Amino acid sequence: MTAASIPSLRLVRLLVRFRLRHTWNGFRRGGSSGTKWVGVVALLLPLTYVGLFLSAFGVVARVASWPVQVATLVVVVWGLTLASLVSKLTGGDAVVAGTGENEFLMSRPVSLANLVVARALAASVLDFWGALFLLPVLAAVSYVWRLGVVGFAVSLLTSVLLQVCLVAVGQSVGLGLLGRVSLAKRRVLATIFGLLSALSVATLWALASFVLRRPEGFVRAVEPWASQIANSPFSLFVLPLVVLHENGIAPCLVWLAGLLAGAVVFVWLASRVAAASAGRGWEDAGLPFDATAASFAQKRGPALSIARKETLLLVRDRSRFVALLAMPFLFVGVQVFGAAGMEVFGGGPQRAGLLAYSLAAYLATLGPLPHMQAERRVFWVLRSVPVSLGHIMWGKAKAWLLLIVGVGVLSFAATVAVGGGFHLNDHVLWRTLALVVVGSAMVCILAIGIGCNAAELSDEGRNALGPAGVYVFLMVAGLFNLALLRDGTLAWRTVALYAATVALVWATGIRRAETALDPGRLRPVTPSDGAMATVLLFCGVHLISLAPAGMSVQESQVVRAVWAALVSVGGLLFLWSVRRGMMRKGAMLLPLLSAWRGRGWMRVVGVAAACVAAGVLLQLTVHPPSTALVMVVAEEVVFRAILQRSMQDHFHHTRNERILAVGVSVLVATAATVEALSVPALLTQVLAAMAFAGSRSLAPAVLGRMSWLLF
Amino acid sequence: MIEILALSKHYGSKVALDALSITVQGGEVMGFLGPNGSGKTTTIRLLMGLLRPTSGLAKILGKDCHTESVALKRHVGYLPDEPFLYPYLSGLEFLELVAGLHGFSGPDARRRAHDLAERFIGPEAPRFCMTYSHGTKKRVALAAALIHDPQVLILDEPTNGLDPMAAKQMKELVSQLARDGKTVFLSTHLLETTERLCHRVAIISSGRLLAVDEPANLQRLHGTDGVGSLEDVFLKLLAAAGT
Repeated sequence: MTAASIPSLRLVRLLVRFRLRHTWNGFRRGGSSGTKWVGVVALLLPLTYVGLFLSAFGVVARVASWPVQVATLVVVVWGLTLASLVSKLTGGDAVVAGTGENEFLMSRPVSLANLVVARALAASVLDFWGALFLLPVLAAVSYVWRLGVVGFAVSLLTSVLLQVCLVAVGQSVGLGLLGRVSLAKRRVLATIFGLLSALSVATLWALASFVLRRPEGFVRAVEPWASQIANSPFSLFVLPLVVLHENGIAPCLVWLAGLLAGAVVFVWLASRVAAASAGRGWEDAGLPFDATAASFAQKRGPALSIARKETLLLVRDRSRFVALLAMPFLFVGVQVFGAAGMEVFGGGPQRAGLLAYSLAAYLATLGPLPHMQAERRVFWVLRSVPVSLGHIMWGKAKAWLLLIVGVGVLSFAATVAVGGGFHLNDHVLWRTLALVVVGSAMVCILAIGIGCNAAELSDEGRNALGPAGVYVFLMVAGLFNLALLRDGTLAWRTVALYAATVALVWATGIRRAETALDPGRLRPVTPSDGAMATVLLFCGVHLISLAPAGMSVQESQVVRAVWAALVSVGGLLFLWSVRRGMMRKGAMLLPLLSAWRGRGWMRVVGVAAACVAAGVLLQLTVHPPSTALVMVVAEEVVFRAILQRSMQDHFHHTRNERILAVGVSVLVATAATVEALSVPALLTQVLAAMAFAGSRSLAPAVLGRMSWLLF
Repeated sequence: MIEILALSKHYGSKVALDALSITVQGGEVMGFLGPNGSGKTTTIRLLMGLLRPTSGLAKILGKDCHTESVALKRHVGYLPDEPFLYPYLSGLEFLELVAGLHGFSGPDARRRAHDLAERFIGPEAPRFCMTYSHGTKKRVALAAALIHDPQVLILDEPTNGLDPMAAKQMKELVSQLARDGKTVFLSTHLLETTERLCHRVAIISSGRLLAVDEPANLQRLHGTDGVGSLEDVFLKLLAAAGT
């Protein structure tokens, strides 16, 4: 049977060649600009990790003896390896037979055994970050131990060989388990796999944050068992590097050859397991679950409303329901028991509120945020009923509100009760509980609004929600942490800004969802964009004010001015690119790059202008009043040019709508401005808004506010 | 050429296929008719070795479809109902990949892919598969099924979802394949297609075979007073079977 199959190495070559071409084509021609930038950031991220581990292991090398250093490395490497193994086990391509790609490949003369071998080997090239999962740690250690280029090469080889082993083991275990689990119980197995995967990632998160944040503490924790760990079989994966440091290249090569032999054995075993699995039930893996068990609605309740339909769908899909509830608890729980320790429990109601809100936000990220993806095939049904889209989405929100607010409140109560030391007459307790309820409810509505805003349902091959949408959601959801952690005016300003943002995102999202199926839909500037820009400016300013201890007031002013300048330039660039229709083509900055390549004199002028602007900015920002002037420009670009203009364009049909547009933008601007809350500050905002509404130009508002500041 | 002997497939307690037996001769076009959910796609997946039979046997060219599935795929072409295409590969690249999977070397794979792309996809061949219409996707998948010049073709609903023009082109392609002497196992629920293209027709319902014969014989045996269209025969057989 296998002899008729094309050889594994040939299959590896084909998989690598065409997968790389497919990925490159997708990156070059498809995807939104947001996805591309996320891709670029993902490419740069490992460099950051090398830097972080370099710093952590630098501390470890300084404070720990040699066996403790080795033991520390072994623990970190094993944490990474286990997380990687579980993710391979639960997400292996080979395990589910019924996927489109597997059916495509298996209807060619390709045996399952050869496919498993080919995938294990091809993963070393195709799963780039998976293959280099150990590299940031090992490269940082080899630098700290001064092992030079050879150390880097050994780190690289170790990581790649381990990746091959892990893919092989993951696929073997997955296939082996499938052969022993009945069809009816595979849904349970899938749920367990999902939970295991979440648990391993969360554990890794806690472990990594422990090492990176408190390397001395980590060393102290490892020290008592250092010699046992360093001499255990677990040290096998770090031995090539350790031996290179102690005994030189030749013994290191022997250990690498051992790892290579191990990889060959694991791949061979995987091929045997796959050969045994083919024809013993693997073919049924991936069958729709309803084909394996009869499913009937048990009883008839009241007529199905939109909210009840959402609840029934959620509750009937048990694996999704369990994962949805368990995963946020796993993520947050392991973090609590990891680097942060028990500080959260002992931190009072505010800390408990933060934890409860984080859980609600996680739940919203997993549940209502990707709702358009889940419903992309039936969205036309929702669109074809004689009910407004807003009504349908509100029904959806109501169903999720119960779950998300419930989880928020229950986890707050549980954390406060476990932490102890609270008094029922403590007003902070009740204030925080109220904030948790409001924040959890709003994060649910925000998730549905952003899901509607980002939805692109015209192309089956593209996800309805890209990574850019998820990050935007996390940024806005993160804003509410300020309300939970801060007191006084800042907390209430944050709540007001958050509520206004949620309302604007919702209103815009409902309107955008109407065109979700249209591939040629235009990308206008929306009130949601205005709200996002406002949140970005607001969060940046307040993070700078919280930031680095030891920064002088003047330095802080400079950083704030640079941030304001960046937001101004970014905002103007965004407006320009939308107006030119570039956002619709999904490549916001590419036309700029082509213009840059275009003419020599333009480059010279561009560089000169950038130098002058940077010089002027630096000169200006040395003086605090000038910083305030730069901030005025940033605020006017965000509040007026993006927010107010989009609101005026959005709500322009009646006189009341126009007044509402100006009124809301004034309120948002008043909440988000750096100026203290006062009647003159409010008056300034009103006058600036009226000046902009009358002229649709930034000049009167900017000049007016600058004059107010100076005189 | 194709032998299906008492083939059954159960999904838990649900019987998808119940002791199905059909034989298809070399060079014959066999229509496989049945309503939705009657077991047509399950039969085809069993023939392609993509599913494990609960009992019974299926053979193509004398090779067991389950235990020798890899070897027989060198001689069988398969067009699935909903073909999988890589969205960011062009039709030409996709055909090169399929040729490679069938073991053809680089230049040979390229030549075969080019020839078939010219014949089936035309000027759209260099474009990404994600931009193709449903009809073009089906044509790409049919080209992929033919790239190794198979003796046997298994086509699952080849005209499903196609507009009249594309459906007509697809039917002409299948006719041409029959004239070229290929053995074709054609699953469909379009009676007109079956009547025009097939030498014999097998009708199944709820996983059981109701009748298998030439269209004219079916009309004579099961039509009202020996006459009537294949549609009448089909509906009469289904009614008799209680579906």
